[in-house]
Amino acid sequence: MKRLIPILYTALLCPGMAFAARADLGFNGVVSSIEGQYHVRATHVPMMGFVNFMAFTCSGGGVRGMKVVEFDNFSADADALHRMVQEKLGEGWSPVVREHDRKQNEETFIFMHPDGKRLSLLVLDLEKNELDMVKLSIKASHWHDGIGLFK
Amino acid sequence: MKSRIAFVLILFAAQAAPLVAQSAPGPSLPPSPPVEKELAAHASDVTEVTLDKNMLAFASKFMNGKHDRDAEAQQLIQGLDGIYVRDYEFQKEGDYTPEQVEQLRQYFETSAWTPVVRDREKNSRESTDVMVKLVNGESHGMLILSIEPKEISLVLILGPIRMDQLGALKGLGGMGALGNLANGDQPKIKDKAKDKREGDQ
Repeated sequence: MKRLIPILYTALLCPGMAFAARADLGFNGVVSSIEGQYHVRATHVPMMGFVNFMAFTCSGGGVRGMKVVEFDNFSADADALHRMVQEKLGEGWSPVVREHDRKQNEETFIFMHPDGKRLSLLVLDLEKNELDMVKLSIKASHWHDGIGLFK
Repeated sequence: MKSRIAFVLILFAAQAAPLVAQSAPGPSLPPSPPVEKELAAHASDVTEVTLDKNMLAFASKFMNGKHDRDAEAQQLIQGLDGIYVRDYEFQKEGDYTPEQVEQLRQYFETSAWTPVVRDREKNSRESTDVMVKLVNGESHGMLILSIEPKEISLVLILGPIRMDQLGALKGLGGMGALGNLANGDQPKIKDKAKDKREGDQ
């Protein structure tokens, strides 16, 4: 019976390990997957800390956690990229908007993730030779009121 | 010893429960008609908006109900399973064929879906079809298919829905036209082509 205890403790650790793995499936997971799969390097936008601070302050806490990266000399099949991003983001993220503009040869994806009172957004914009990726978290009530201003 | 094992098992179950809950599949997107791929391939601009049950539930939480319309929309979307909008814009007329439109209609014109509006404008070559999914006499879904010479729009609303509540959805992307229903305009079953044929006889 004593042999059972270590097995059960190992089983107990599994969910914790799974949670840790899930944490990697966010924005950074998508960036590293794109880098690995398409052999490109992400360019990070400098001074994002300051931009975040300004966004948080000016929006009264409505916007936070902005991350921006850019991939130059990037080309990919849009369907494959969409599938890969969705897979990497994991459960909880929904592909809400997808737009394709043939004239401009541009594809835009917006994924959303409700997170308590906030909504995380991941926007990918694929142009001819460039992919831009933005992630931010918005306070949902703030967004609702903001949209109300334009009604 | 048994109690210790039971304790470990309970701990394991408690840790695993959120994982199971998070990985539980939500209401799935209905399969797209195969012809939609052909339309997308020929369209100059394709827009897809998908609001699944989770997103609608989240949105409904933040409609504060300060206005009557907010409260109406909140009440409506709380019960919905999903809203799907597909919009195909074409550069020139003739980029899609009438057969493709017919395939799109036929895909939904099954026994589950009942046509309630069939509007055909011969001059502008525009048409609108509205179908409802009836379950035990109650509406559990609505499909709006709008065809213009250079644009095809498809709105699919899944879940219990009442005609008089539709106008409340006009604030959601791509469904502004539903606002007319809020003004008391009730949808009518009309088939102008059929009316004309009957008039000629």
